[in-house]
Amino acid sequence: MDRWRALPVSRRRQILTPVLLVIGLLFPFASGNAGNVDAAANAFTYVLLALGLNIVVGFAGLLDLGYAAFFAIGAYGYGIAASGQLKPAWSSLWAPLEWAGQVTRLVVPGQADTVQFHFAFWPMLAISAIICAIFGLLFGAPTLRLRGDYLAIVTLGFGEIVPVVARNWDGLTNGAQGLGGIRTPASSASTSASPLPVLLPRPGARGGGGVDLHPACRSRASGARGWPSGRTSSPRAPMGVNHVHYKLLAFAMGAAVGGLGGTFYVAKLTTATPDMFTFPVSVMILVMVVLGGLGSIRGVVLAALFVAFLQSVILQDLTEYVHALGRLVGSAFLQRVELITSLELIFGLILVLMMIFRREGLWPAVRRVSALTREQQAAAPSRGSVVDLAWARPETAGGPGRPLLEIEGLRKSFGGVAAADDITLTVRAGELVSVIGPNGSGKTTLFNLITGLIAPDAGSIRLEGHEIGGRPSHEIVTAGWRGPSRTSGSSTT
Amino acid sequence: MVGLVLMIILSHLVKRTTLGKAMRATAQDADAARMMGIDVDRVVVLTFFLGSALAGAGSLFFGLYYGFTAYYIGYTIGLRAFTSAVLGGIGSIPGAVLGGLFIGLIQSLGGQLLGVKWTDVMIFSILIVIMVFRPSGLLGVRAPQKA
Repeated sequence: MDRWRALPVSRRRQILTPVLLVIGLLFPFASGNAGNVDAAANAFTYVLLALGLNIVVGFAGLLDLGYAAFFAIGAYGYGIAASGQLKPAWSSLWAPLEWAGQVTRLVVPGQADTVQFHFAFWPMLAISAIICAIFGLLFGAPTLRLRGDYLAIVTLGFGEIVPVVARNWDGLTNGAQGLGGIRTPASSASTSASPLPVLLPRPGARGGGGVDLHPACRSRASGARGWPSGRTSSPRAPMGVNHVHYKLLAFAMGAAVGGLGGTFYVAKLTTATPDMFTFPVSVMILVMVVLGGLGSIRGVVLAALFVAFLQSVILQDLTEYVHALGRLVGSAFLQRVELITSLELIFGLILVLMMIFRREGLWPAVRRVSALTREQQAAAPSRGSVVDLAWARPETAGGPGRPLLEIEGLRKSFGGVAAADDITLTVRAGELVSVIGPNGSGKTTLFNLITGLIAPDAGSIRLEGHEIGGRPSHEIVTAGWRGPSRTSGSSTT
Repeated sequence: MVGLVLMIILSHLVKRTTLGKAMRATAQDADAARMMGIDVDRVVVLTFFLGSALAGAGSLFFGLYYGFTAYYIGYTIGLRAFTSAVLGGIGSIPGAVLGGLFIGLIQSLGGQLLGVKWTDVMIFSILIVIMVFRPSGLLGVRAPQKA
């Protein structure tokens, strides 16, 4: 155990991932019980969906109440491609697909030939994810300006629209009855005896190892670093992050994962009905994310497994215990209790209790906040790593007196109030400049102007000779110049 | 009629009374409100009290009009009420009224135009379109940005 702990996290992950994959692959064969396999598959569908929503809600801080919509799109995407729902007329355009074994030409005497779809699972998994990502972008783009309640209601609206469309567009989705006879990846090969164990190992492993790892990697990759800042304070996070870009990316990735979940779930279930994707499903996934801890991958996985376990095992057992207790004390009421039907009630209770006693979730993401060392204080952030900047240390500053930041005639007024009026200031390398003044004298305005949070009315700000006045803060920081860093201390003192 | 009276009372309460002032202050910035001596917890509790009372009044009319009730009727209505509030602009009483009327109109006109089954799709599509062009609702002012 000590030796295990001594390993760096990345190394541990390298070892654990194949182990989890193998367990996931072997589980359906090792466990002869089809019910267990089914429960595990459901559980990992939850995990997948919760992780997908976690990208949107946990990392990017965008409250999405309509996540089930992407689940539905992925599910119907595969459902339509792998069932006899659509029967377009045969034309020679379909020939390459028939040659690839994805469609069959149906010949019915006396009628025009039609096409029978039976697209394979694995390519469709990727295609569903891409379709969902596109929907995520389409849907994310107009909502970027919205925040809080407004964003929530619009996502909710989207989540309401999709099942209604699925229910009413009979030609595409077979209406309220839903799609039936969707092919599972292995059902063509195996007999009807037990398609599940044959089908499940690989997707099961996806949930167990592959996807578990995937967002974990993302949260380490430089791309995902933009999200937590989006969550903590949406309008202002000037540390080199282009918000529009990352919010859209979060929407697209979350949607794609939802599509994976939908495809897998429908391939397992072989049917898809509109009722499977209604608002309570979105809420349930959201509950898992909140329960586990926003932005915490392990927490969300744990919570999703817990919810699935609660549903499939704990509540059944508890119901029997309560019945036994009822027989013991002779209470007719206790013998009639069915805990599974009150699942939502129990969820509600758990959630309320969690919010009162443990708001950060079961297993929150650790956000390390430690004091900076001397070396780190003299370092500047750059892409990928922390770089030691020799010039920032006064004793080694090259070329003393070289101006780094030059401000000339800077002016900014809010309505009739001139918050900053004709400020001229030069900061040279190795110099420490303090801005002092009474309340309301414009210190914060000055910092906001320099860091690009607000645009100046007049004057110029040059950083190492580059004009930065009025440019968005993320551009200033990522342009590669030694940028100004803003701390809360500097803005209030 | 009763709705109109309730609206006037609510409007007066929120705009003129101390409690209303405290509510709006809490909505703008709970911390600052606390520093100004407002018992934020009490305001929150009273707000929930008020909101629930109005829902009760609304449900009375629903029951009188349709003459039936069931445990599940609140879901659709609650959803549409939320939509109305957002459509009109959160924090604006005339906005909420306008939003409610608007949704009601879409519901009855849209039902005739495209069929009842597309009502929800229409309501939410219109909502999304309006949100794109007016991100704070029809009569909403630019809300202070909360962290």
